[in-house]
Amino acid sequence: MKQIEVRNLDFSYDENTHAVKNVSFSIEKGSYTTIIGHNGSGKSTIAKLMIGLLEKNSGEVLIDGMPLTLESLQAIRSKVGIVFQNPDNQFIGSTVRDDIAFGLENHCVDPDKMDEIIMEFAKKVNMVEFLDSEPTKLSGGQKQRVAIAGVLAMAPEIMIFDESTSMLDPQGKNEINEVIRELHAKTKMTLVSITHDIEEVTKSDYVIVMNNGQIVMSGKPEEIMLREKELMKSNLDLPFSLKMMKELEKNKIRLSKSVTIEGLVDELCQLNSTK
Amino acid sequence: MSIEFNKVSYIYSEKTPFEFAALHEVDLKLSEKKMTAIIGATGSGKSTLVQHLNALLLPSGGKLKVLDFEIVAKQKATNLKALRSHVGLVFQFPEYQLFEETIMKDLCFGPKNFGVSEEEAQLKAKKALKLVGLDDSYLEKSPLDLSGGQKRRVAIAGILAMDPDVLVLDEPTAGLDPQGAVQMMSLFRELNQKHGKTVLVVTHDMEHVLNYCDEVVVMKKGEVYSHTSVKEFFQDTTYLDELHILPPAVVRVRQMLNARGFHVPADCFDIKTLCAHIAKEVKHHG
Amino acid sequence: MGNFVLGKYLPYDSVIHKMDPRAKILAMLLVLISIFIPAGYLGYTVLGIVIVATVLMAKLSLKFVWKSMKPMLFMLCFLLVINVFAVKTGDILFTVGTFEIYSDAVFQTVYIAVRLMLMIMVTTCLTATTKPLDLTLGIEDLLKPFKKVGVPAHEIAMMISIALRFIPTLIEETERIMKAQASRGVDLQEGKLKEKIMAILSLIVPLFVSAFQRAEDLANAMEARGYAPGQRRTRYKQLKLHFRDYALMLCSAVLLVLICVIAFVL
Repeated sequence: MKQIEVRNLDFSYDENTHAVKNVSFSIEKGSYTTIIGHNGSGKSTIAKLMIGLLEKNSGEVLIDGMPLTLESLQAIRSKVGIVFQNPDNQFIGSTVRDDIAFGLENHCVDPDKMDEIIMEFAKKVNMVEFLDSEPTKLSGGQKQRVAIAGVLAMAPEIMIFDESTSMLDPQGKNEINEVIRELHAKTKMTLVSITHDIEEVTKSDYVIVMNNGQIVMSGKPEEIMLREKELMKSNLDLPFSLKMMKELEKNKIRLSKSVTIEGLVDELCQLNSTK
Repeated sequence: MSIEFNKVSYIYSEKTPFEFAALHEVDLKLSEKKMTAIIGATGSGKSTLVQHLNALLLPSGGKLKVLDFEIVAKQKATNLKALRSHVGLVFQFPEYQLFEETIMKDLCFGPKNFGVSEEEAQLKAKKALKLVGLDDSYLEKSPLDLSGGQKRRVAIAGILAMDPDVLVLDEPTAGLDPQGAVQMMSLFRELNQKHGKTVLVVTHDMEHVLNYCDEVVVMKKGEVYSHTSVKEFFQDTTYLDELHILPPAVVRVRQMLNARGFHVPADCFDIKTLCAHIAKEVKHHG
Repeated sequence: MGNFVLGKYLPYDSVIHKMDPRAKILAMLLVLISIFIPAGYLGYTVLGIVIVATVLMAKLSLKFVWKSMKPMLFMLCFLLVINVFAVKTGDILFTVGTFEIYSDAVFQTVYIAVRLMLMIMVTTCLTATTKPLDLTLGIEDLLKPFKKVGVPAHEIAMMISIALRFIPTLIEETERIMKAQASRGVDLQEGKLKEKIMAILSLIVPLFVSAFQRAEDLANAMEARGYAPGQRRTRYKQLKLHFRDYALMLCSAVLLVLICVIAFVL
């Protein structure tokens, strides 16, 4: 079932810069989609348009068949949660506890029930021991985990990660990617991750490549990540496995195409043992 | 030797309840005209270390020599300004230090603070802007109108305009996309190789360490854990595991293949030689 | 920053710390009113004893209280000088050359000094024992009855708590920009006036740019999590009045009455 549908979406910040041009795509319920593009390709703008933080010029966004309008805005935002890029600027409460509570307060949850909910989601992101910590005492990865807990606590059906790992150190990146993978494995949530990390793309179900505010191509990562020319044209890095395959071809070794390093190594090992 | 730390310690908020020792008796000699990576987990003291290089932080103990300047703990340091003109330090997210109406004015700001005349400052500004890959048409634009990546280039040009001998960069590629990051790192490598600058880069990205740097300093809990050449560093992967460092892809593939019967030599650091080796082995079997 | 202690929260464990912020705010207002009633030596002695006792109960050292009064000393000296020139009643205390200093000038200054000291002690008792955020909650609840006349109690509280949340972040940011500009040769201590103005500009412009960016990000994050100003929402932190809070309010009311009796009846 299609849960997100975007039709002919158009947006510009001012007359000169057209940030999103006639973009259409749809996302299946329960899938894990990555939207990839270089900085300034319009990918983050799409995220903001999807939850009505920016107002589109024309086109349509439908969530579960419901068009995004001023009237449906709050209803849609309760279905769609988003985690942004900067860990500091989305930490609203004065402690971890208060930050997770913030969304609950907005949804008019009974204060007596909040402690239980806060505990549940702090556990999910492994932040229970920090419940009373202030943001200045937390690392970037920890703050992002709190942001995720704060959004999850509002029980959304769709989660958007808008470059949520791009300001983190490797450890923080791993922590967040781990949380995303777990959500995908254990829940039926629809996940949309906006990223420029090509290795993350290989782990998703579906990928949309953007450049200059337009969709260049979309499909399964196994297919998309092998389309070298389009990737290069979109100013994207090639996945390491593809770079290796090209180099091996020069050495007259042809492999069936694989997007992950693991797959590539498997195949090489087979070649080495069977021959 | 251009830069030498001698038992340098640094304590934040000394003699208060918030006292925190960020560096413990660090001994370190950095080679001139090399490009050195400084790596380590968040909070390991990397940023504290580099801020000593242009005396933004003064040691709580020990002494250090930077170029011809000597800074000794508990002694009044003189000539800090002169030191700062020789050691350019680029902070994380440097785009936030731009403030002038035009890029030209912003680029001239540093040189003029160090007593360079207006005309000379403008010449230096133009040269620096060219170095970071932007043409003269940008000079009269407002720095606030640029894209994120361009802003960062201009901010770095603002430091280059001071014509420092040593360039220190704290996570210069944070937040950039992979292509932007590669361009940035190539720029630093060029400054190092063509213009003879000593470059120090604080980074988390092992691909950058492998592809652009000569030496690598590992910081751990306020101490220098190791200081080796990049090649030595990536040869022994057990050492990397110990540090919880995810090796660069080339090294990772080598590791995986060797664990399953391949014999790729440990000094194979680029994709070309790696693939040539693999091909040889596979064909040999066949 | 570290030396400025007026209004600083001290995390001790005392009865006063545990009390409800609303009770503390109301009690403080009552005591402040008492201080303004001219109740003579007896009245101020009573007030002084009660307030010092409260300070000690809150486990605050008198040294800390003294420190928070220091900024006022300069003002008091200034006042004394003005009074010496302006007040010409009472006995002549002593003469300097042909200039006479009257006793009332000194008395009036001491009188104001005592009041001011008591006021600072009382407010310190509140701010040093109550977390800024709890203080905000207390103010919000106390302002609730005024909602009907258009006081946006909740929005005010939200604004204060976000400001409090971002102060450490902005201080950190300021330090970073200062260091970044120092690397470009900015020297805030030395230099001519023109250079100093440039130095300050080089700090303030970036600080504003980044603060605006943060504000925009924060607004987006709040909106995305369902916040809309003016819309009804519940509150996680609920304040509860205990016996000790009623006791505190009662005691301060009794104190006010007592001072009134001393001032107007005796």
